[in-house]
Amino acid sequence: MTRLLSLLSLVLAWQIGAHFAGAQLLPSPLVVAGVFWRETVSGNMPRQLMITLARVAIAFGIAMVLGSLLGVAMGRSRWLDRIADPWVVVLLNLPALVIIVLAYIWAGLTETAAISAVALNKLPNAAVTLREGARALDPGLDEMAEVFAMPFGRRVRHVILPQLAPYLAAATRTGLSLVWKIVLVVELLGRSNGVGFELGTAFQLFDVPTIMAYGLVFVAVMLLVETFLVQPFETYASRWRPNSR
Amino acid sequence: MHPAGGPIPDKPVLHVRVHNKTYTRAGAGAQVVVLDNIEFALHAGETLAIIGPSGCGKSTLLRIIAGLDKHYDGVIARPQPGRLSMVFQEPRLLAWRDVETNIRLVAPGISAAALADLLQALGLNEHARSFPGELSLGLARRVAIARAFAVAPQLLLLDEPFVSLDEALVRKLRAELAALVAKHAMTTLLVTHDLLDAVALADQLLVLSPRPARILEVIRLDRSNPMLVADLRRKIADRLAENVSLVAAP
Ligand SMILES: Nc1ncnc2c1ncn2[C@@H]1O[C@H](COP(=O)(O)OP(=O)(O)O)[C@@H](O)[C@H]1O
Ligand SMILES: [Mg+2]
Repeated sequence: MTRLLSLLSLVLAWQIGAHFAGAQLLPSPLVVAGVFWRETVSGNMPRQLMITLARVAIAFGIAMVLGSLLGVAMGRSRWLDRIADPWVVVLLNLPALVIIVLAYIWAGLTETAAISAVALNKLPNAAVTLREGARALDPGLDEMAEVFAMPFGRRVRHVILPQLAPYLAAATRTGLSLVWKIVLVVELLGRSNGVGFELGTAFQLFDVPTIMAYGLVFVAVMLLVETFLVQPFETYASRWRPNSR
Repeated sequence: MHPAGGPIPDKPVLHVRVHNKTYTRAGAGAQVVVLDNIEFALHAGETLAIIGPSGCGKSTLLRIIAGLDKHYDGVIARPQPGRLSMVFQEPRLLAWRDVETNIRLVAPGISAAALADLLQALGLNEHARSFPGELSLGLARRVAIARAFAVAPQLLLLDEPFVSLDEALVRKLRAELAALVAKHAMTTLLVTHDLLDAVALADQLLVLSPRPARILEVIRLDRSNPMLVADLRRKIADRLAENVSLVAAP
């Protein structure tokens, strides 16, 4: 209820701001809604949105899988940690834009370069989070699984992954918000479709209503992903905790 | 345990020869000797209690026997992986799996009847669907014991399975465990600092010295003798005069 009021006040402030700033700089909510309707009916917005979401999903998936594996391995092996840590630190602090531009220069303006650049931006973040998780693994449970000769797969699924779940959820949460922002930049700089490309085109035409329509729809989609994918996963992963049931 | 000089019985389930075990103290890097020349054998159906003061190296010895610690000087003949089970000093349950799943995960082949029997014997029938976080320490210990029996091991290792429970509960749990060990004729190695645990569960007793642990005494127990505990206490006290906690009254 409070959230709804807060949202309404935002729309109202927007309307008032639009009145003073003029339609050129800040179009009114109604104008933006019109653009949204037009783009949706023409099918362009859903299409661009799907393209961008697919890139988000693929890059995110690659970064999460590789980053998590690397992070867990680093958390378990002091030797590997010492070797890989400088790489991770460099990647972590390299501006996203530098990675993107270099990827396009080295691999051309290709889909592979775009996805790799996004994944490479997220990977060290996942690695660092999961390294923490691996360090926090209970050695007592490890010994238990060892004594009872639990097969590897069962050990991963029932002993290790449940302990890593909070860290995976944290990496997912920060990862999604990071990845979808970077995907837009990658599309703006080197792709000829997707939401980022549309935003770039609209920028060149100073088409503020289109920029706002795409931006808002993107926010809405990410909120849906958060509400219907990330949060249910977190609830599921922590269902055994006495205080959360 | 095989007394020296008797007839040679069949191959033991467990044969331990640890010449020595040292830890490197963190920081200083100094070597601390924990185990010194521990040798014994355990045959099918035998129950052996190893008793020694806290900190003498009992858990260390048990971890070596279980194959969890490979940094020692010696030789151990033990059952194949998966044919040995252990109750740790802490229950070590998977907090995110319910009681029944905790047991089934180490013993996937257990029949519903055998599982029900075990839960019944340990008073856990109402808790099969509970999560470990909902259980008291006493109940969690019972689950750990049920899990250890569920795999039908050739050798059961117990590390102070009753520590930090109140005395009434300990007495009850001891009796339940003793009944289970007897029923399954389980080859059992129990490590404890409490003589009453040893007397309740074992037919032989191996007394360790304070660190570094050496075998001070091997005692054959006769549980039908009512004088036993008091006599034993005195006997062990003589051998272990400097360690008071081991022989303190309950
Ligand atoms: N990982 C370790 N590193 C160094 N010292 C240890 C380690 N584990 C145990 N110790 C030391 O070895 C001795 C024996 O420990 P432990 O086997 O746990 O004793 P007990 O089970 O008989 O109480 C103790 O003095 C303890 O401080
Ligand atoms: Mg101990």
